[in-house]
Amino acid sequence: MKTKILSIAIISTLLSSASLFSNSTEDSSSPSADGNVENIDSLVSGQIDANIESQVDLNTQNIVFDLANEAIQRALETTIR
Amino acid sequence: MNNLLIKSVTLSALCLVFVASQAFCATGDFKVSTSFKTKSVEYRPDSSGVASDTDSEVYSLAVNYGVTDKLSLTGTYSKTETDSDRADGVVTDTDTDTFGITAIYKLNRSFTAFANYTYGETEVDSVVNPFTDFDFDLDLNLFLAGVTYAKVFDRQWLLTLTPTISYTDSDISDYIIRNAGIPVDGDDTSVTTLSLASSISYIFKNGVVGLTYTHNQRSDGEDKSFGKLQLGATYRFNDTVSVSAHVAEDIAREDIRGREFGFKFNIKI
Repeated sequence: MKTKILSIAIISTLLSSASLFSNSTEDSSSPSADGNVENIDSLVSGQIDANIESQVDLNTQNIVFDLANEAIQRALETTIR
Repeated sequence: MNNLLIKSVTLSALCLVFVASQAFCATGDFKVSTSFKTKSVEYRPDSSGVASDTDSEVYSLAVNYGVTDKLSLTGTYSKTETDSDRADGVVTDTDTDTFGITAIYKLNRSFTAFANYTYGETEVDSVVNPFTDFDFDLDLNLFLAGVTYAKVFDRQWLLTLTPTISYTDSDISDYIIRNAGIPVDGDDTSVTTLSLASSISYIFKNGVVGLTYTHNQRSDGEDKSFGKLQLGATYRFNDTVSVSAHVAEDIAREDIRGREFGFKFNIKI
């Protein structure tokens, strides 16, 4: 329970600090020779989102997978054999 | 404990106020993506000397809403079907449904913060032999938060570092081993995972190719350390449609050898 509360606090703090730091946005983009900055920004942004999605997926799927498998092994080893 | 609770509730309230305030200047952009992933895992012999093979198929649907230019929310539904065969003849079917919501906030060009909550329901059905079988449910709550640091070099190379912390609380129901008539008590487990993902990507005119290594340190009574290497590519047809594919391999895990392949279709509405 305590750890769950701490996790909620961490998530809340991250989102709240996002608000505080939002004014520090820097714009380091510069127009390219082919005027393609917007396209690059979009691709970079998409790749960052994909990385985040991959981390969420990795944690969710792998943990479900491992927990279920460990439970099956426990049942087989401690009860049936 | 009470102090901690009050602080947590206050922080959560601030978070909700922040999200609500951002919603007033919504950009209205919707992105929908569907994906399909297969994963095969070979489990090395366990303590009883039995190895197993597992094949999974994961179908996902995600809807992303751009609340503002900086904040986006993604709702995801995934269905996972897994078949597992042990060398001793035990066959297991596992069905998992997960529902998740992810908030992504771009602090500036370098830093992006994100947080996720996922609820999952898993049904496990094991057949030990023609006369004995058991099934149980596994419910899961996952809280995850992290920050991504991104740096573009020479307008063609993208380097990212993503530290993440996640906390998972799972609950296994009580069940009975049929015909054997043996009751088994459920189990309540919590797992904390620290991850660090580092990736390098090459950006070309209409796409990205990237290599990512994620190192995980998991604590659930005993510490486990393992990694995952992933090679992915995205091709953007136009402003509306893009496709992605990836291959990945679990590495540095003593208990398993896993490989996966995934394909994703994205459309912006």
